[in-house]
Amino acid sequence: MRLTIRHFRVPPDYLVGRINSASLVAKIAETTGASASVQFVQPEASVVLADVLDVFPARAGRGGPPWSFSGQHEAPEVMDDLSDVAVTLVGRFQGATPCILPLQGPWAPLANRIQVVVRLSSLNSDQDWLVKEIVGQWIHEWVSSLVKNLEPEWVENFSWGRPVAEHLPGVIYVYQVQSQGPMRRTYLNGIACDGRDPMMVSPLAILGGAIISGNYVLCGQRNATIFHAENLVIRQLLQQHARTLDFRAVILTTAASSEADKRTIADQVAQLATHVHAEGAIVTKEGGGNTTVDLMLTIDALERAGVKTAGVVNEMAGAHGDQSPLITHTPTANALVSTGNVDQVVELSPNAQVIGGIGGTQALDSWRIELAKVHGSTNLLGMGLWGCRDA
Amino acid sequence: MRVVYYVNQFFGGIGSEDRADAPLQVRPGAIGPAQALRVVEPRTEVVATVIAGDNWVNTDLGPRIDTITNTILSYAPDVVLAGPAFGAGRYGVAVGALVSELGRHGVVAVGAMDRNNPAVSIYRREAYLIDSGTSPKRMGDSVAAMWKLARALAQGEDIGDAETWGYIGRGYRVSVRHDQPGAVRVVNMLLRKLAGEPFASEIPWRESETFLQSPPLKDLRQATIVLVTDGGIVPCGNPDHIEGSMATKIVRYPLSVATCLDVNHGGYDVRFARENPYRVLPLDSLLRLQEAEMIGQVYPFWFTTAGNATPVERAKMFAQSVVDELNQIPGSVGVLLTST
Repeated sequence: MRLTIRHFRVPPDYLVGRINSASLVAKIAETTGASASVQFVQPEASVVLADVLDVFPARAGRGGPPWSFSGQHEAPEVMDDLSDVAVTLVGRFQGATPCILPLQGPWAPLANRIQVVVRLSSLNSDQDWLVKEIVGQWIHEWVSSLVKNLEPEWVENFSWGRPVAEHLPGVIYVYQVQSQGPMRRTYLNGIACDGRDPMMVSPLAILGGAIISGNYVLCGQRNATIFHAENLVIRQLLQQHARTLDFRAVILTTAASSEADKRTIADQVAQLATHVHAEGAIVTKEGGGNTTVDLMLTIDALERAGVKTAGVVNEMAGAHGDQSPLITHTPTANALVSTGNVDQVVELSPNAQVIGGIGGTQALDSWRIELAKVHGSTNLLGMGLWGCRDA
Repeated sequence: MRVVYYVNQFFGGIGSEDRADAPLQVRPGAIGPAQALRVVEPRTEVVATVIAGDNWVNTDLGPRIDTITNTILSYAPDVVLAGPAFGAGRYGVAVGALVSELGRHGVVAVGAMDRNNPAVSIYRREAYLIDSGTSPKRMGDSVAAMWKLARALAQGEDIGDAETWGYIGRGYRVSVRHDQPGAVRVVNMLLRKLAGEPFASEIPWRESETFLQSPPLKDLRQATIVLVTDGGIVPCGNPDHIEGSMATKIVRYPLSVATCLDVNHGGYDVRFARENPYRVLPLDSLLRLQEAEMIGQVYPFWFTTAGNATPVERAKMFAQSVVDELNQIPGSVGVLLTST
């Protein structure tokens, strides 16, 4: 399997002059009845986005959109990517937790990008998927047209397949996503992952946009679509593939709702790992405290099956860092990377302009805010630099 | 900077185990490991070395630490260093207790001992303790680390993580910015683990907190049963604005308002609870049990919050506020705690 990502860099002016936001606004209004507007924000602007629902990469697929909303999907082999751009959906609907995304400062995960902010209002909670489908198609058409006569700045070529490097340690990636019902689910190729058994998914399909977030709770504990599509664990494993390790598989799995299901899924993951003769595994998680149980059970099952495992997790160590960082911690989880403490209170720039939210600058109760409310600040896919240490 | 140094009878040159009963004595200037400090920082003035036998201190720990503390305070030091106690248990206790007590008096004090010294588990939360290891061969390194940390504390510097400064973690977690993203770090960590090379988890394992279970109620027919839920069941309109995640409050409501209920919780699929809030707040069943005289009475208030990403320290405060009220109820009390 192969995937080529052509990366383009375009000046903001060029971008702004070639965007048809009217067509997006009209399509959303016509299809959902919701009103929308589009706004550009420069990189590193002193801006805080409020009520962030999701963030998309600015991408187009050759031959079709890079993501699927229909259940039928063949990942494109070539994608065009505006690497300095992100498309962020902001708005409110019942059940969605209002999330903050600062665009400047140490807690801004996407600070270096031009933001295309799609503001939505009067949206019903069952229309999120429809809106994303419209936005996804619009991004595809817009980026396709924009880069038509441009040369990419750089090109990434990924290839993956077996057998490749039998003498190197076989490593798998256990990609635990949250899909526990409405407001907190993840889609693979347009189908909700709720209740699905662990399954093998091509890493190139994931980089090609196979996963879309439908998770609107716990801002600090969810992965936006852009983070799935740019998953750095997968990129890192592909980079090391055939050099220091043999990247055998991605096992996509969900955090279950009952203890029995959590145990069953952990055992199923271990069986799949054994099936591909994995010697090592990396596990990431998505979701709040209950999904740490899934993480720990999965690590434990893998270690019991003889698969050496390392995990990525953020901490819930209290505002002062004096609480137990994890709600549960099996002794076999002896190789964990921390992405920071979501309970930590940080101060955002008080002069920042607030875009989104109800009431403009009143959208934030305070400029002092827990990281748990800041989207992607303690990135669960290990895409940030933050971590914690003992003190 | 004025420094006072504390050592036990052995490192103070009085004698070994046979002199462990030696009472407190003060020598002017630097004795034993305090002399190493002069090598590390020649401009430092060690005004006194305070020496006490390990048995003398530990036989009557509290009063004797008070005595040592008062003696040290009379020298008006800028910083106090104690140890290293290495793996020695009684010496470790003396160092830990003294550093903790001096801290309570607002004096900058740093001790040192091996991280497996039994005293570490007692004092590490309140005392800065440099990890000296077990071998006196590292005495110079330990004293240098003690001095570096003590000087930074005295100058009001922001003390960072334990690994960077060489002290034994006090049970706190602080944020650090790494050079590499987590995804790169985890792949490297796994490769080291697979190769059998040393690696260090960024989250060391800790034993989980344990909770004492109350004895069972002797007679439910005599008991008051209290309903507590973290399932986000609120009166219609959520009048106290209990947040659906990271709730900041737990609220008590009279049962009389339970005729119109709603659900506000961001952590589970609330459709079924909305259909029938009694699925989470089983007031209907409890009232039937009360009518059938199977329980004494239902407490006339219920307590509710949304247990979703709530920091543990806040959850403990919620629990304490409920317990404070329940302690006022006469007779035996049971709590039906429903969680989602």
